[in-house]
Parts: sequence; C-alpha cells; structure tokens
Amino acid sequence: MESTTILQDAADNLKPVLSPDHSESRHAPQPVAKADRIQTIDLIRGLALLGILMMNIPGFGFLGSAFRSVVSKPGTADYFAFTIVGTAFEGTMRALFSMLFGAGMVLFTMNKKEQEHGPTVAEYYYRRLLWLVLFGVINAYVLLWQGDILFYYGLCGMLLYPFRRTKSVWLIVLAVVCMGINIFRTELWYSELRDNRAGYLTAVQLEKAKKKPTEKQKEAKEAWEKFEKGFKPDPKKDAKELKAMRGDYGTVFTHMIPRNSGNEAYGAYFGSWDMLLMMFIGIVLLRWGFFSNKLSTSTYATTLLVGYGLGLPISYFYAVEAQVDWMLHIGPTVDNYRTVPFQLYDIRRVLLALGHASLLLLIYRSQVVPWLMRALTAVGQMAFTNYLMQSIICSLIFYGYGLGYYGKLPFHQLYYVVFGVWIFQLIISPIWLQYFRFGPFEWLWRSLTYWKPQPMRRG
Amino acid sequence: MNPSSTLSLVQPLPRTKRIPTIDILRGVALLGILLMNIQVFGLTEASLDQLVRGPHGGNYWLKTIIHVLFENKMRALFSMLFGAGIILFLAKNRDGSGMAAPELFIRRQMWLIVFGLVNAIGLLWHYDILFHYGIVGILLFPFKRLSARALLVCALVVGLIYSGKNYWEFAEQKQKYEKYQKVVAFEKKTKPDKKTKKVKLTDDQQEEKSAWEGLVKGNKYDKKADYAEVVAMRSDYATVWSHQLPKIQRMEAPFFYQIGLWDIVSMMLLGMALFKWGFFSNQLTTSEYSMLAVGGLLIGQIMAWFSLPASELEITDFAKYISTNVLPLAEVSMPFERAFSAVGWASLVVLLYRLEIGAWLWRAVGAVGQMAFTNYLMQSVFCTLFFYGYGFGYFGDLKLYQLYFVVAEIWLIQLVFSVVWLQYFRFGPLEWLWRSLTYGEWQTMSISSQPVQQATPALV
Repeated sequence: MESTTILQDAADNLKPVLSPDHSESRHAPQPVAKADRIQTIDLIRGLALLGILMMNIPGFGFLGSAFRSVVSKPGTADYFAFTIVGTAFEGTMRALFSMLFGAGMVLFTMNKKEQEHGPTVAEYYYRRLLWLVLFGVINAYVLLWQGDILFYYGLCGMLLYPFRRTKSVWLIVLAVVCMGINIFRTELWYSELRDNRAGYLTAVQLEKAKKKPTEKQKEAKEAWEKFEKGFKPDPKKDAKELKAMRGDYGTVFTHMIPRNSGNEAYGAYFGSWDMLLMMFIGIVLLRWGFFSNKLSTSTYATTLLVGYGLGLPISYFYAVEAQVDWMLHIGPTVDNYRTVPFQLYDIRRVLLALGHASLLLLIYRSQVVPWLMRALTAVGQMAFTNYLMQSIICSLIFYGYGLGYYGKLPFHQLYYVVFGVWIFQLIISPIWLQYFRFGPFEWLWRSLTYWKPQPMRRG
Repeated sequence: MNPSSTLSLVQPLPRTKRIPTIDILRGVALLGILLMNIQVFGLTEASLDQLVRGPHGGNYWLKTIIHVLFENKMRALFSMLFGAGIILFLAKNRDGSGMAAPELFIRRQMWLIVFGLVNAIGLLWHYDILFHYGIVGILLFPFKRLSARALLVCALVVGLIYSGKNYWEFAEQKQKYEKYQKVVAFEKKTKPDKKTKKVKLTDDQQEEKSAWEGLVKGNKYDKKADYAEVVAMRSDYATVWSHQLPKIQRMEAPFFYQIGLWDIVSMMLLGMALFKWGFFSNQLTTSEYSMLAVGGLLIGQIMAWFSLPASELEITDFAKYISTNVLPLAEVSMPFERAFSAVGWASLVVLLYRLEIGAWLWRAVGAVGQMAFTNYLMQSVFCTLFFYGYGFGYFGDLKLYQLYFVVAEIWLIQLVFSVVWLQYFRFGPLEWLWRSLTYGEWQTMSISSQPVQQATPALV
C-alpha cells in the first residue's frame, strides 16, 4: 500500500508538462521535454557514463595477458592505477548505469498517456528496446567494441516492463533472488573447479609414486591443466592478438566475430542476472526519491558512509588481495579459498555504487562546483551518444585502422586517454545541448522509436 | 470469474469463440512434432546418423520419409500458430484500457520462459522450445501492428538471414578444408625430418591441420562415446541431469543466438502474416486452399527430396561433402522448403476439415490443440519417464520403428485424454495454471460454473 503511494508520488512529480512548441502532437506519446527531465538523474548518469570508460579502456587498448605483469609489480604506477580502479570503481559504474536504466523504464512508461487509437505505450517501449538491441549489435559488430552493453540492456529491459508496478519489497526480493542465482551458479562452477584441482593433485601424486590414476582423476587433471593454461604466458598468442588488433578494419572485424557472438550468446543467457538485479534496485531507489535528490542531506551522508565504509574494505580484499592471488597463483588460491572470493562482487558493487551516487549528490547540493555539475548533467543527458562516441574514439585510437595504439601504452597511461575523452565529452555535450534538444544518436533513436523525425533544434 | 476484479474486462476467451481450425492445426503440429522428438528421446543422435551410414534397411527408409515429409515442418507450423496466437491474444484482450493487454502478454511470455526452463532443466528435455518461444514472442510484440504484407517481407528477410548464416557456416568449414589441403600438400612436397620421420610444420600449419581433423572426427561415429551416452541416460536422475545440463545450456545460449532465433522468428512472422490474411481461421476459398495445398507440398517436397543426397553425404562422408559442394543445399533451402511444406500440410488439413472428411478425428485433434501446452509438456513427461534411467530406462534399447509404437500410444492417450478432459473443464490443467499465473488470479476451471453456452463442436 505504502509503496503504491510512493509510486504515485513519484509519478506525479515526474509528470511532464507539455511544452507549447510541439502542441500539434500533444496527444501522441512523445519524448520528455528538456524542462521536465530530472536533472540529478542525468547528473548521476553522466558520472556513470564517464566512469565506465575506466573499466572499458583496457578492453579497447590493453593486452589481456599483460595484466599479470601489472599486478606482479607493486609500487609501480601501473599497479597503483590497477588498485584504484579495482578497489573503488570496477563494476560500480555499470551498476549505477543499470540502476538508472531500470529507473528510466519507469519514467518512460509512466510519463506517457495512453491514446485511444494507435500504438500503446508498451509498444513504444518495446520498439525502443528493439532498436537498442540493434544499436548494441552495431556497437559490437561494426564499431567493434567487444564490451558493448546496449545489446544486453535492450534484452533485459524487455523483461522489466511487467515489474513497473510491483511493490518495492518484492522488487528487492527479486534483486536478492537474482543475486542468489549468480552466487549459486558461481558456486557450482567453483566447486567443479576445486574438484578438478583436487583430482589433479592426487593424479600428480599417484604418477610420482608410479601408480595409475583412475579415469576420473585423469579427466580432472586434464580439465585443470586446460584451465591453468589460460593463466600462463603465451607469447605466440599475444603476438597474434597484437597483429590482428593492429590490422586493417577487415582483420579486426573478422578477429572480433567469434568474440562478439560468444559474448552476446552467453552473456545474455548467463549474465542477465547481473543487470536485472541492479535494474530492480534502480526502480526502488527511484521511488524512494534517491535519484531525484529528494532525500535529506543526512540520509545521503549516511548512505555514503555505510556504502564506502562497508564497500571499500570488501573491495580491497576482493579486488586487490584476491584478484592478484587469483592471477598470479591460481593453484594455491583455489586450494586456499573454500568459496571463491568473487562471491562478494555484487554486494560490494551495490554498496559502492550507492556511495558514489550519494557523494555526487552531496557535492551537487553543496554547490561547490556548479559548472562541473552542469557539464556532467549534459554528458548524462546525451549518455547514449557519449557511450557510442567512446567506442568510436577509442577504437580509432587503439585499433589498426586508426592510430593503432593497441598494446602500446603501459597500463597507467591508458588513463591519460580516459582523461582526454572525459574532458572532450564534458566540453562538447553542454555546447551541443545549447543548440539542440537531444544528442545526435538520441535523436536518431527517438526518431526510429516514434517512426517519425523528431524536432532537433532548440527553438 | 469475480466481476469486481480489476481484470474482469480482460479474461480468457470463452470456448465458443475459439477458432476451430487454429486448434486443429495446432493439434496436428503438436502431435506431429513427436514424430521427430521421439527419435531423440529414445536414441542417441550418433546412432540415428548410423542409420544413414549403414546398410539401408527399413529403419533407414522410415527415418528418411519422416525427415522429408515432416522434419522441421511441424515445428514450423507450431511456430506459425504461435505467431498467430500473439495477434489473437493481443486483439482479444484489448478493451480500451490499453495497458492491460500488453502487460498480460509480456507476463504470459515470461511465465512461458519459466515453464520452458522447467521443461529443460527439470524434466530434462534439452530440445525444449517453450523457452525460445517465450523470448521470441516478446521480441515480436511490437510487430503486431504491421500489415500482412510487411510481415511477409520481414519473414522473408529473416529467412534469408537464416539461410545466409547456414551458408556462412559451410563456407567456414570449406575454408578449413582448403587450408588443410594446403598443409597436406606442403607435407608431401617437403622432405621429412630424419629423426622423427615427420615433416616439421609451423604452429599455424599445425593448427590448420588439426582444425579440420577435429571437424572430421566430430562427424564420425564414435562407438565409445555413443555407448557412454546410453549408459549416462540410463542412470539415475542426478546423472542424467548433469549429462543433459551442458546440452541444455548449449541449446538455450549459443544455439538460440546463432540458429534458433532466426528459425523461430521467421516462422512466427510468417504465421502472423498468414493469420492476418485469414489463412488459419478457415477464411480462404476452397480453391485457394487447394492451390496452397498442392503448390506448397509440391514445391516443398521437391526441394526436400532434391536436397536429401547432400544432407546424407554430409553424414556419410563429410570431407567429400565439403569438397564437392559449392553450396550447402539442404541448409540453405531449409528455411523456405519447410515453409512451403508446412503451408501445404496446413491447407490440406483445413480442406479435409471443410470437406468433413474424418470429422470425428479433427474434433479430437482440435481438443489436443486446445490443450497444446499441457500436451506438449505431457510428451516430455511420458517420454523421459519411458526412456530415461530414472523411469523405465528404454533409452537406446529400441529399434527406430519400435519408437513409433510409443508415438502411436502417446497419440492415442492424448487424443482421448484431451477430449475427455475438455468435457469437464474449460482448459487443460497446465493451461489453467499458465493462465492463472498470467492473470494473477485463479481461473475458473470447470465448465458447469460458466453461463450456459452451446457446447463446442469438439464435444458434440
């Protein structure tokens, strides 16, 4: 009962006031005018969008196997960068992004009135998501970004629709269930890994004693050795990877096909929980007014303290200790940990994401850097454009058909590129929005969704 | 039905409003699907391929005839009817409230996904289609407003993509073969190393060689693996479960992404188009149905028989198949061939129904179709309990022709059960559960509590 009134409140607060300049289409569902947007949602989305690049940049320009040398040298700038990103940011920006995507679904469907004839709001919503899936496919297969998330967001969003009126308690239960499924699956995988490891160890011992291992032990040994091989340096494979990524468009394209199709096929099937869980939480947070800057300063401060206070220690243990062990000494790590330490991943992500968002809102309230907040809001309002722009810029910097910097920069120098992209996007987004109502890709997406070119220029 | 409930305006269709031909066709497709599924329920896929490789006896001919006449076609028909069902469901539930119909539809699809997961991971039927139908139905929801012509164009495009993907796979295999040929030629030309008596190959060459060899090996009969599979399938539930799980995941993730999606989407779109033309609801003229029956079956069957040798060669001699063919005829034509045959079969059934040939049979088949969801899951229950180790454990034990006694038995049970059940209840038991979950309230099940209505033709 309570949650429905909160929802009603939220919906009332978010109700669009149709601006007079497009009154001719007053009755048809249409994009939310700028004045009605909730500024702080764009602000947080801007943070998440820029932040996501910190985790994505190695995928664009860093050889995966080189991580091992990064973590094996404490004290270097590379190690420092790895520790900071791993502790404070990894997974958290994606979490925020997913939460805001869930919130966005509620805003999109609740803000629009049903018409008597013509497509329903649900149809617009699903059209929008189908286009998003297509944009995701383009981002992966054409812009060649193997870490695309639009594809998955489009699909997960389709499952979200019937939950937009679900009571908050149930949404939290669903989020916990999603987390549980994640944990359960990881546990299954890890226990099999441990079995293989145990089988491997006995088989090796038996072989030393000149005894024959059983068929099962042999299988376990093989499985473990195959798994362990992925952790060992393989210069030939690296050379191949470097050559392919520094090749022309056709070469990179073919090189990426199996990776993209593998990602999309397995990612959507096994990875949806990761996103759905955050989307459910996002809907609840929207109803509570968390994203729309409606809570008291002390609430945000408490959230900040709890989020960071619990999240960061877990994170240090998880991201630095466990992950470094995992990369450098996989065998003993598997022997030592009864449960895989990555099980804390989702909890940590939620805590840190809430901490980041609270911190940002507190800064916004204190009005210390209003110009930065405005720029960040603009970035968030054009999040779709900026996300795709990151793919375009980074692929052109790193891949062979661009500048070909793939695998050439040391880990910490990747973050110079990140800062460069941030500054560029922080400057260009506010300027663009001075003249236009939407970002260019937002415009395209909206026009496709409503199947009619949308007015673009600011009147 | 509680009239004060918020959903009282939107409720399941009373039975008199059902379109009999749709139920009949769905019944045909549902019973027909078992013709193919029984082979995989009861035998290993490797042993089925052995029928093609070995001396061609009666079992080979039985398999071939079923393959040419029905394989892929019944699933196609089932998918088409599901597509038609999307439009039907959305049309009948819309009462100006707008929100309700899409909402119910998405809920219904999501429960279907859940049922699909139960069918696969619980009942251990790895070729479950409900999971896939659940997802595809959601994807196709925004297409419901398109005209029949636009839907047909979409279906064609998707069919072409499907066909193109099949070609792509073949081209990749051919490429592997050609690379392998080059390595072999190099080996022949070069003098072998004195010590090992083998030609030294570079890593790339070694990789190219083993890539093709692996492919050939995967297409050969492996007696040991075949035996191991039979043993695993005849074990207890836990063993069968862990044996089936990777197969299930393969079907639900990469297979769905690469093949299943296009397979189902193309046929559902075609079904939506056909429905809008009135094809499934018995609205075409008799001469139109006759033309479609003759034309569809003729074209479809010619294509099927024509591509048969290639698809057999793929099993008997994979290397020869890859090297001698330019085009994977069977795979490339399949998305269209089965559409023709499926439309042909459907037209034939509608014609027979119209001419009242075997009227009693069509009534029973219609009842099966009306309870298609129950009957589909019932087939999983019966077959897994009959063949898998935790049931009677007949897996790998029967000859191919013997499987069809089981099919006949199940058909008979389902025909009788469906007719009898619908005499007393409005829906099949699982339809009732599915609807109740979708609408969020228990549905009235028994017929007597409904306002007096004429009994459906199915029960007269």
